[in-house]
Amino acid sequence: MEIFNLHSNNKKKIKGLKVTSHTEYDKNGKERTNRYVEFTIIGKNRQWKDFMLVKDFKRLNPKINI
Amino acid sequence: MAIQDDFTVFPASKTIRHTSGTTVYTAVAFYSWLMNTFDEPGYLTYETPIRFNTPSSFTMINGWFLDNGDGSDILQFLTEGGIDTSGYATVSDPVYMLDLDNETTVFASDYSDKDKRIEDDSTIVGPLLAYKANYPDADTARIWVRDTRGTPATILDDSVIDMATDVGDGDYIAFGDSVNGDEIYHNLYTIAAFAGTPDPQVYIYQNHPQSGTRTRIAEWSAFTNWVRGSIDILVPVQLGGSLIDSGNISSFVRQTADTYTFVESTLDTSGRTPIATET
Repeated sequence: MEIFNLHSNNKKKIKGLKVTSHTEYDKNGKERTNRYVEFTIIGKNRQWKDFMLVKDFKRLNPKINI
Repeated sequence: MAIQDDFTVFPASKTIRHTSGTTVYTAVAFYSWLMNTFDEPGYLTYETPIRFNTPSSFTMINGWFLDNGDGSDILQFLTEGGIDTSGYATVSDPVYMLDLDNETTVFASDYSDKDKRIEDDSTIVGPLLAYKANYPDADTARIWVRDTRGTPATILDDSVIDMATDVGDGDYIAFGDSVNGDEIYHNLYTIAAFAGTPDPQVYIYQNHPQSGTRTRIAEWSAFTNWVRGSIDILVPVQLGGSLIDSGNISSFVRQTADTYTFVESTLDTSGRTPIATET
């Protein structure tokens, strides 16, 4: 599967896509559960984990259902 | 400017330095940039420098070093995620932290001295990774050096330390044995409720890592991660394998005529911690 990756600002081949959650306080002191899409990037020579907020993933990859 | 213009990888010494710009990057952007960089063919022979733990926690691995010393101050340009290290003491080329003393010569290293080889009693140890001059006084300094000898060995107290290329800085005396061990750069951020305007100034106090004196961390308010009323910064809480004052940090915000509270925190793990502040 190929997705547009927010951090590298280009398309990347990935595998192992899953949705995770991570709880933290925002700057107003409100506890939030942020949902992330976590995946393994298949690079030219290495593989590594990366992730994006679900809302960023949907914005950048509108054709992929998660 | 893009992130690759602001940070530079020095593969020979396994060090990453901030070399340009004033933009502050999230820890995840830094992680992603590093992994993309090390995916390029030119970096194939080098071990991976960083590992992802959670969206706000990362670990430097395989002995890779972040230069937070003078001339780089890399932690000032990162935000929204904590970073720690793994294996500084156990890799084949360990990282040593060493305090220097010289009663006659002020430590006058400059940026061009980085990566030059350090000598311990005329024996070459390895490259200078980072230094902090005037630390904490005008005639003392702290350095980080990588031991690339076949058999690494602690640099002993009172050893004569010099640079192999003799750049004219003179000799220094090791002030105590070198220490090695992992470091933790905790991500501290404020959540706030303020009485009025202007927003108050943020103060962070920590015992000085070398002298043990309670010291205010000098703010770097020119950057976006430390502004009036709000910070989101990385603070070293463990250096050379030992927690600084058991990880204790005091934080508060203060504005003339407003009452304020302060928070005592113990930060002894990697990650991201909110500090509630109010006036």
